[in-house]
Amino acid sequence: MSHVIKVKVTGEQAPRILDVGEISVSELLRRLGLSKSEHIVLREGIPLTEDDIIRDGDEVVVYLVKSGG
Amino acid sequence: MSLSSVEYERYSRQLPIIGVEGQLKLKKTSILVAGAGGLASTILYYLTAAGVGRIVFIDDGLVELSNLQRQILYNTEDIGRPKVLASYEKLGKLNPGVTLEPIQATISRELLDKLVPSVDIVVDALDNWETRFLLDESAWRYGKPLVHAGVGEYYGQLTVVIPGKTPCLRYLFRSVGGGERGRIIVMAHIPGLLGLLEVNEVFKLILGYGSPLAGKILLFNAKTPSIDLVEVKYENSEEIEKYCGEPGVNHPSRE
Repeated sequence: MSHVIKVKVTGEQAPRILDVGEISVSELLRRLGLSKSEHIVLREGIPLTEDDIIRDGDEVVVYLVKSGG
Repeated sequence: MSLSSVEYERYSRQLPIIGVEGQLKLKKTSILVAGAGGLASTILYYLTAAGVGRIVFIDDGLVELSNLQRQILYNTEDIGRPKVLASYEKLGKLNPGVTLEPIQATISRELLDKLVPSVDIVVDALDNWETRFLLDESAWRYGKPLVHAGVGEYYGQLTVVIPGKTPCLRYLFRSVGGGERGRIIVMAHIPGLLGLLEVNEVFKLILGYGSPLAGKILLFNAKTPSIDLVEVKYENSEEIEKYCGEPGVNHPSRE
């Protein structure tokens, strides 16, 4: 049975589809090759912590944020 | 408080828009700018030029050659000098009517506890998450609006935190952390762009035009080019308090 977690990464045209039942935010970023210090992940507009779990059927958006000044 | 004849002339191109009342609001306002680098270069210039009454600014750095690509407050002769001192001299010449309070120091919780209560608005012009979250914590605790921006490469983001009305910065960016400090990789004009957008948010807070970018994050991409607005939601106020603590009450710093 396949699972679908849909991840929209800002700046990318098509969403990425992950076939996993559940995954933590930190593991999601690691799998996508995105750094923790430069990305925030929102589910239905709510910012997630690195330990939050994203589950089958969830749609999340990853935004690039910068710390320089 | 009133405007002098010199001030009427100096601000004559904005007085028809904001009126004497608006100009007096600027004059009565006290602002803390944390950082004196790329974002602060434009922030400090325009807050001073527009006639904000009192500007406190903190930075512990000295001007370096690699700063000059984007930090337009400084020139080659300033290399090796404290940034806040070089800023103070230039800004004072731009507008002697503004009270400028440069502080050459490393930002700490103790220092912020002394400075934040005396201002109306806090502006983030920092270059790392760790110090930003200290600034955020202090602004929240004393009930002061915080205008945030961050930049890197071709990108930047902007938001406004209003204690008691929006989540704090720590909540908005609660999954981020770490990252390298110091060596900023960014195109020359990006800090200037985002710094100007911060100035616009400061003026909105003071003068009340439009609506502040509260509870939303503006994401700027210079390559596309695009500006995205993300509306941030939260589960409940307990969740906010868990990350931000109880918001303080903003007591006006000056009459």
